[in-house]
This record gives sequence, structure tokens and C-alpha cells, in this order.
Amino acid sequence: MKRRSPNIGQGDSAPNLTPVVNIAMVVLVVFMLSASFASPELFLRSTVSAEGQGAVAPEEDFVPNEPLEIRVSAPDADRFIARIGGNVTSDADELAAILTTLRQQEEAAGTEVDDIQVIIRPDGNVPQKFTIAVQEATIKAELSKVAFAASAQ
Amino acid sequence: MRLPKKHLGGLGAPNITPLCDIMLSLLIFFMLVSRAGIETGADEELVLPDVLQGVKIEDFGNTVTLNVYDLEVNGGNLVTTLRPLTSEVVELTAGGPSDELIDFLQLVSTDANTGQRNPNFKVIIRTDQSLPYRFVEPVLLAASTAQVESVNFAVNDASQTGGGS
Repeated sequence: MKRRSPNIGQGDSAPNLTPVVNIAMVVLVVFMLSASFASPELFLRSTVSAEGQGAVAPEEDFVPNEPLEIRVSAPDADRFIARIGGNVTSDADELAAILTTLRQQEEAAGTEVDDIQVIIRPDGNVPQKFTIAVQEATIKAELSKVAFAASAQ
Repeated sequence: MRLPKKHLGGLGAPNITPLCDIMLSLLIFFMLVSRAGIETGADEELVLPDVLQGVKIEDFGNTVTLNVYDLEVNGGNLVTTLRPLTSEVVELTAGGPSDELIDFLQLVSTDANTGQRNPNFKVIIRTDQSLPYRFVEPVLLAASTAQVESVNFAVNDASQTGGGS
């Protein structure tokens, strides 16, 4: 009796890969497009300095350093005024330069840079773009311990 | 009469095995880097502030994204987020007499099995760049009350968008 040979592409020795390639190509294009359209989003890290409460309980012998407090106001929608110590500026780059000088003074006085606490205290009407610009200035000044003042009204 | 076969290097079709290898490698690469299917609840309509400095968050597993708006609700302001596990959008009030955001953050930052706080828990705050700080303040206060140590502001990478701060 003659046994029927399995019908594999009628003479071809390999399976037909064309449909697999087609589907894989389409899936590849979809993933390439979704990867390229991922939004260019970054994040600015901070902690919260809430008055009357703290996010982390301090240790018993902990003596906090005097924080660098930046008061931010916005006289109109297009500009901000930042006050730190006796310095007043409405330019983010100038603020970064002032903060760099203050950091260098603190370091010269023996304070570790990680122990320098910066508190940003914006007025209620300050748009978020200015609050973020002030925080970016602290990053430029290589100050990493940044918190926002928040108080219950 | 028998026609002579065309000379194709002895094969009837081109060898597509190297093509398949490269394509599948590319497919796996783009599957890994693609963010498709990762739902964070971020409101893409918000115009984020532009910055040149910032960090990327790769692991969104322990994060909650809060969209903050300037709409006043029940004496507080509106915050939307995704409820973990169910992924449904929930609207909460931040501040005011019924500060729902504190309870929400305390709930999602605690491990349901052990009852311990998750030390890697992070909050991402998304706001419009023109949003006044008084609407952000109750959200920060709620995060502090819920003992969330890592608060992150979502911003646009100005080097890619062409903007600047």
C-alpha cells in the first residue's frame, strides 16, 4: 500500500513564513509608533514641609539647620519675584546664581550640601510655572533637599 | 521541450531567516520600551510647566498620579486619579471639610496584606502651568498628612518641546 506523504506546501521543504512576517511587521510598526509618541515628560522631586506636622519623624538629638527659605510672589501673570534673605530677583538664572553663592557659603561654614534644607514658600496666586522655575533654580544650584511650604488655611 | 530553470543560486525563494531574526529582535525591543498599555490616569490635556532639569521615572508600579484642577468642590478643589486595581477614574476633593484625598493616599500607600506602609510609594502631581499655588497646597498638605515622602511634579522636557523656563 502506498502511504500518502504529508502535504507540506506541495514540494516545499519549509513552512510558508509570509503571513507570520506580515503580522510581525504590522505589530512592529505599531510599537515603533507608540514608542516615538511617548510624551517627553520629566519629574521634579521634592518633599513637603507642612507647618505643624512632618512627613518623617525627626530623631531625638536632631537639631535642624536654619533652612533657606525662598518666598515667591507674582505681581502679575508674566513674572515672579523671589526673595531669599536680603536678595530679591525676578530672574530664574539670577536666583540660581544667588542660591549657588549661598550653598558655597554654607559649605564653607562646614555644612554638608545634603543638610542644606531649602523651603519654597509661594503665595497662593503664584502660577505653577513660576513655582517650578524656582524649584529648577535650586536644582541648578545643586541643592537637593527641597520642600514646599504648605499650611492649612 | 523541457525549459531550463532560472539560476537563483539553487533556491526557489530568497532566504528570509535573517530578516525574521532582525525583525523579531526589533519587535521585542519596541515592546519593552513602548508605554502602550500602561495607564496612569494622567490627564494629557493639562499644559505642564516646561523645565530643562528633571529626572525620569521608569517604575510606575508604586506611584499614584494626581491631576489637580482649579475647580472648587465642597469647599476643596478637584483632584482626579485612577483607583488601583480597578483602574477607574475617581474624583476627590483636596482640602475643605471633607478632605477625601488624605484617606485615599493613606489607603493606597498601605499594603493591604501586611498593613505596613509602602516605603517606595510616590505621588506624581500634574497641574496646568497656570494653576495658582493655592490649589496645589491642599494636595501637598494631604500628602504630608498621609506620610507620603516622595512628591514629584510632572513637567515637560523643554529640550524636546522647544520651550524654556
